[in-house]
Amino acid sequence: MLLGLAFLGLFWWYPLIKTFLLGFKLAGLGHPDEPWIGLENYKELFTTPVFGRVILNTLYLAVVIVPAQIVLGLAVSAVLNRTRLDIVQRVGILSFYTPYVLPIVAIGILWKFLYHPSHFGIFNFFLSKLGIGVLRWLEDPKLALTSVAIMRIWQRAGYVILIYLAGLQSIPRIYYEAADIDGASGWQKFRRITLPLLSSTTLFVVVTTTISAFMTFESIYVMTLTAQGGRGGPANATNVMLFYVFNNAFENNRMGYASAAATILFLMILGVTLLQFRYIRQRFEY
Amino acid sequence: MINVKKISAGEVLLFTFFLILLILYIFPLYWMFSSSFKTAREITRIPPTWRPMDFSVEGYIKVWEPIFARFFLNSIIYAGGSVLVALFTSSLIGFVIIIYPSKLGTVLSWSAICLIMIPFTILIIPLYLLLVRLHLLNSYLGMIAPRIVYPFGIFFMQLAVRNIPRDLVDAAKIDGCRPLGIYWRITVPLLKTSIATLATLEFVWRWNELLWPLIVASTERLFPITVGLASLVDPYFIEMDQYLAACVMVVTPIIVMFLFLQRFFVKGIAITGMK
Repeated sequence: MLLGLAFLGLFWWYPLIKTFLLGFKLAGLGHPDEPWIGLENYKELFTTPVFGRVILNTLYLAVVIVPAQIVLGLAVSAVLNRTRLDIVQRVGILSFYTPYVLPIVAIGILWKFLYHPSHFGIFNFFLSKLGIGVLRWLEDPKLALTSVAIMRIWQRAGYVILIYLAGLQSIPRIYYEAADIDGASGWQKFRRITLPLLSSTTLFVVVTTTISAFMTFESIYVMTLTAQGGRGGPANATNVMLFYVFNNAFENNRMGYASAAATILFLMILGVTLLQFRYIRQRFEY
Repeated sequence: MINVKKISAGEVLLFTFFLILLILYIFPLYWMFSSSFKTAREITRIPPTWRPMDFSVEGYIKVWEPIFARFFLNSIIYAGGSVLVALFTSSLIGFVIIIYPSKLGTVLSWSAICLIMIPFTILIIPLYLLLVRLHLLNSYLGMIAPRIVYPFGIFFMQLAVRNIPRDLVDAAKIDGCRPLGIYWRITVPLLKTSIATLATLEFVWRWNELLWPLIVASTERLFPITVGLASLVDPYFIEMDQYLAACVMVVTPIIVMFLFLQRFFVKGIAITGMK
């Protein structure tokens, strides 16, 4: 028991506190004494234009991914829940859920292949068939981050679908029967019964999806590697928080600076989590 | 009263649409498998071929090197080791917290719940420096170390232990069974499903993880499969037949596992989802 607490302290609590402290220090391999430098790291973070870009990129990912996942999750789970054929439900769950259990490294490589900028890249093949022409998905600074977001939506939607399906199945049938007697239309039932009763599920999905969007790393690491600019490019277009932390800490050996960035990422996540609790207290007292 | 609805046109339309979505959805995975059996020439053919025309395993042969087996072994050691250690400590701690309540147990329990909300990835910098100091960098032990006591596991197991009938435990206590005996003979057998669920989730999470092993392992000998796969891809992205073959090799064990252990995956998600 004590031993458990000790390990929890050493490998979880200590690093947490140390992350905050390192943010005010000059740290890295070769600085074993870790001198205090006050707010220098934060000052630098907020005056570096790249960091502003990094924060915007991170927020952009969340703004794109979260609504898309909710719409997709709700739509698919509603269909899966309605079907009376067990086999459709099982096959549906299997197909939508599989990408979520696979390593993002492999998925990223696969999608880099799908996004290939020439005509044999299958997305470009379809687009050129439709007469839209060829896109340079991951190489175009304007499109690169969206391309990563699309892959993430595809990869993680199965999780959201499953959560919504569980939510839908917990809604008592009697509400719908009552609505049927009152002559409510399908859309009215969805709007007035399903959506409100799923609001706590939706909140959970929003929070977990936002956090996972904030923590995007693997897809950037694998998909955006180019010969000219390394990773996170083109021109920092896909440089997001966790990648920035990783890059500064383990490529540039600026661990104090990276810890300051990690602290900001942590505060962003904490903010989302706290928002959840406040919202729960306000809304869900019925 | 169950009313037998007639299938309306709208419903047919909805299901057709759904079917198209489903096919689009699994298409990338189909494309990975089918392209991995094409020759390097056929992969870059325009227009693309919908299935391998000259079936070949060239990509697999070219990409397979002995080190690849080592990557798999490392993944098994890392993921398997994490699972074994985390399961043992989590279930034991969960057991003690619930069955033998104490101040210390409450502290541990709350501490674990707080830590679940903190993503592990935030902690990697100090953890790395800690491993440097402990000389655990580039070792399996270093990779597994943060999982020796695992907040999520403790939380999960606590929930599970709370659900087992107390009468059984009390009966064993009266019969003079020692705490470890109760743990091993009564709790563990009753927790089988929960243990399997946690094991499945944890195994897949660790198998798929990139960032942590990427930092801890800097020699190829210790790379798990994710790091190995990422290091395989060169910036010019030319040997696509090989990359895809490697992806298939990495993905297949997980898909097989998923097909067999579906119920544990689904159950795990339901529990993590409703926490």
